[in-house]
Amino acid sequence: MSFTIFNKLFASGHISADELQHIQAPYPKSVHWELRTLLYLGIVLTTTGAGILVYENIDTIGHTVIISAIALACAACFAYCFKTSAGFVRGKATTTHVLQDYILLLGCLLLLSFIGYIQYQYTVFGSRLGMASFIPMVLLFASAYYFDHLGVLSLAITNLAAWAGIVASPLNILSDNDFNNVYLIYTAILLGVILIAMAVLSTKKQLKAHFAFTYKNFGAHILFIALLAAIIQIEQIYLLWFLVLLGVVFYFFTTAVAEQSFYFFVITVLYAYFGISYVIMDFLIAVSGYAIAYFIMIYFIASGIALIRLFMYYNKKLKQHDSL
Amino acid sequence: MTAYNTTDLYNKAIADTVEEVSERNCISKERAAAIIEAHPCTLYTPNFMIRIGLSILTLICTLFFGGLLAMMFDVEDSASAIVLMFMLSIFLYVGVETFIKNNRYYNAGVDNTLMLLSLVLFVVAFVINDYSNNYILAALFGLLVSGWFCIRFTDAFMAVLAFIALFLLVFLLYIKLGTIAKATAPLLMMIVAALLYAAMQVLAKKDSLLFYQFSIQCVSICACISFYVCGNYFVVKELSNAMFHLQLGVTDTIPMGWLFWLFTIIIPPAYMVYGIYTKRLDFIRTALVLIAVSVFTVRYYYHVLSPEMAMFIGGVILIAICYWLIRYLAQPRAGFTFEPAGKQQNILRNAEALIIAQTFNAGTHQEASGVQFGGGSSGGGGADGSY
Repeated sequence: MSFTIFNKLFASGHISADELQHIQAPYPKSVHWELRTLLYLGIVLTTTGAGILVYENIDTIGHTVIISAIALACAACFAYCFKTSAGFVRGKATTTHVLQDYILLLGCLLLLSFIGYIQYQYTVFGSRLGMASFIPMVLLFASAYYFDHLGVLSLAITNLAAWAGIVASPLNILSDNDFNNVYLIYTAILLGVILIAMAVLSTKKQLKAHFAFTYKNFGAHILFIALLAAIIQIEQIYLLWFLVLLGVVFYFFTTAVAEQSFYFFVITVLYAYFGISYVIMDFLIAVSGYAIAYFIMIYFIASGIALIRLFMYYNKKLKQHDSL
Repeated sequence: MTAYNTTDLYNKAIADTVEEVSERNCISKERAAAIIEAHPCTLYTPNFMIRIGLSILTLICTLFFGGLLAMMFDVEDSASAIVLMFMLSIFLYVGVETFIKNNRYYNAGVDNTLMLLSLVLFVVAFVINDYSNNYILAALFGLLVSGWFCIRFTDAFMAVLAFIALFLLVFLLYIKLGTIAKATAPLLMMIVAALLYAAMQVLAKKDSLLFYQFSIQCVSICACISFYVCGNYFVVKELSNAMFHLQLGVTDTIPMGWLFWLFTIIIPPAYMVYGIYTKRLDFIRTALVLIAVSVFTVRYYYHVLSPEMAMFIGGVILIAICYWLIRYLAQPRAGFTFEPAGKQQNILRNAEALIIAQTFNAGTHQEASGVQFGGGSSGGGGADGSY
């Protein structure tokens, strides 16, 4: 940081000599997120390594040792969390410590490895695979609520989606789902609606109100993508799905403006833009004529400029604040 | 030189730094607000999310505008494509200038995207056709254009691109000198990186370059990274392999291999020590990334442990070190603290939750037919989170 600015501010009388001295004094640098990232990386490496080791050593003497070690480590993590946790609270837990957060995450991931393994080896949940993903999901939700952990909550949500047959990880949601499957589209729409309802309930009932963003975020992306897939795939009644999309867009748009959320405002407008453009393209191609390509180009230029104006208008209208 | 009003830039610098010291409680919130009030800034920088949206929309508009022009002028061969690209590039540049003059866009998303597209079009136009030295020309003009954009629009991203272009240009020119040049290229490039770093430290001290401090800082870090990359054993070996068509195997060595192993092992910890000693977080972060790169480099040539065993042991060690450091730095010590700083904590925490969901990707291994919501007998299967 340059002190020139502060010397000038001091010269112009905006800050006092005391303040200038305070500013120029050395201060401890925060390595908060560096250490968090490294700790997280350590947990990723350990649990991934352990997960592979278990499967590599199946049918050898070592595997009982490894699986017992995983079970023990997992139990130790949860024991530590129960010991240090102040117990369940309705609101945001104020007493949680970072280390406890990560030890809980480690415990949950080891638990997933453990359950995955005993299902694989002994099929304790029978051949009903649904149970094998249902139980970890319930445990994850319980841990997330009891210990107040956003990361475990998002793990629980992706596991809920996986249980319903949908991949919900942010970067895989488009590539790993088979949207040709109409049944999957309906499931995804239902899942999206449920997650959004959970977000609304969290706020309404003041039960972990700070979980609302995570629910709403997953719900919004799943629902929007599923609706766009419905418009593209279910050709017979796609205009009906288009109307549903417009309804959802209206809901998200008004709540985003009411809650001053720039994030939901931007994603809503962009998903809506995609849907509307698809329907307009479909119409243009249906009435296809000589100058169709020109119309498409001009449409995108004009609509792009119009949306830029809209974004700038709402940038002025919504209030700047420190959350998304 | 800059397209902006210098009072605006100066007042923006004041607002940024005053906010920073106000968060450290060096001055009161009221005092900070009063100072910012007394130094009004008319630059247009919308909310971060809006900027991302504006960038996407600007990209769409420009691409379709280019497509429209290509159709109108019947561009069919590469010569007319090149002409169109140059024209569009200049048009976009004029666009940025106009937007800044009339609307005072400053990192508004629109200006950044137009700037980048203008640069990309200009540079790509040189490499569409295959002719001798076309990459050298592209690097040269890339350097000139991005350098000008950096100076004109005080843009750090353009500064980084200019650095990369300059680095490539020196490299491409040097290896034209012949075999000895090719063999000594890594060492020369390390010297170039060191010189550029030194130059940045001189520039950083100039008060007249106040608005370029962020650009200078970014280029400095790029120079540090380049210094390491040019001395990295993997990069040197595989690059000389490709340049000389040596067909070396994994176990074959290169001349002076020991020197590059030394660089690979020494440089990242050296950055770390320097960063801790001078309390510079940018060095510490760079060092952390480079240590990981060095670990991968060693593991590429020497298989000390099986990957899963290495992951497990490395992970446990990492957890232990972090556990200790977090407890140790609970109180500020040695100029560092674990206390979070800045006002973005909420957003970072939500982002972290998303990253967790992404890394432990819960896959569905179900059969294509039997998806049943509610977990019927063949419902969505095994969510082995850590696999």
